[in-house]
Amino acid sequence: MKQLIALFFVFAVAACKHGTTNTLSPEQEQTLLKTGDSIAVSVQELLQQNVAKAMQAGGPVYAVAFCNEKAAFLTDSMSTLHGTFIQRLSDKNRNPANEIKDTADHTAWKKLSTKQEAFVQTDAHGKRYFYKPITINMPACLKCHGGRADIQDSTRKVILGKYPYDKAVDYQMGDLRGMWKIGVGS
Amino acid sequence: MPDKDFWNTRWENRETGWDIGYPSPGITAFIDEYHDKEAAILIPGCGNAYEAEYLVKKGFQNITLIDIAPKAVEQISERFSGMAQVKIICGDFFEHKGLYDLMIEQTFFCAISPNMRQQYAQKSASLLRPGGTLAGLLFNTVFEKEGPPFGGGIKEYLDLFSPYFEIKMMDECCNSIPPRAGNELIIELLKK
Repeated sequence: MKQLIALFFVFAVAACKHGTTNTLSPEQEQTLLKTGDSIAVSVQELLQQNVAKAMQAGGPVYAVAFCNEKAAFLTDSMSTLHGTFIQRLSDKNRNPANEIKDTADHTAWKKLSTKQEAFVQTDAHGKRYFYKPITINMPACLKCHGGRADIQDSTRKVILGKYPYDKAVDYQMGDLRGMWKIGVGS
Repeated sequence: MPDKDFWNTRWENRETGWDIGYPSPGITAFIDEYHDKEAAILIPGCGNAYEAEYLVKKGFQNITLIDIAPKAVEQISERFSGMAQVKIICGDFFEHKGLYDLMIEQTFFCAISPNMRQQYAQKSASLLRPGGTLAGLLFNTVFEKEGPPFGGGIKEYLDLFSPYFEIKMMDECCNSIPPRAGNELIIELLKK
């Protein structure tokens, strides 16, 4: 019996050590969700404003060039500004740097694919990340991410020229395009 | 020229952006019309070899896969274990010896340095029986950054393959995967 109790204790400690969101109190979780969301919203607004300006200035072809050269820089700048890790990931990535590779990210993606709702997840090293779905929410998105009828041939050529292994097309309005991954402490 | 270590590192780091996760529709459509199930078939630079899975499903009996990256070969060896109709070789296509009825091209040509393309055409022809077929997909666009992948166009390909092959088909692929739509050629070349 004593051995059984000891074994239970060992498992209980191990479970705590590898625990994920269940180690957070509801209040703590809400705080992290709020922090993550405010960062995601600020970066998304910045990117969307810049893409909209680029679209206005030179159409989708120009906007593709803008994204290729500036989007990562803007995200990195916001990462520095907020003093935390910020990344966009997708199962159908355009930029190779946005490919989902880690097991934890795969788990998060699976969860978001089932239910498009932000959450906080702790990785194997005890770091907490906020994940939030990115959806195709404006018709303009389809000019570079839609189906064959949405994307002009000239735009598709420019996209492929910059991203030979592009996968980020064939979306429709409302589709899950990717996810935000934002560091929210440990 | 990217070498064995270059490709193996890409596989080890899972930097396999060319991998679409399923056989290319342009190639499966070709396979559907190719009826000699006993034909000796070679897929060079096979990677995850989804086209070979499709060939097996369609009843083809003599398939050889070759890739230079040990990590890729390790992966497909597991997937094709117990399938006697599939032979897997870890090696360099340009040193490979054999005689085939059909060679399937899918993102191998674009992975080799353009200065090796002449050798590719010559080697492909030498591995095929007279009348044998080289079929598959080639990019019909140029890429901004230094490859791999390396792009190209129809004129270059015609000049390259015509000395060794009769060009039965070299047209815009009508069923490319969406990201490559309008920027890919389907080829069917017959060894002279």
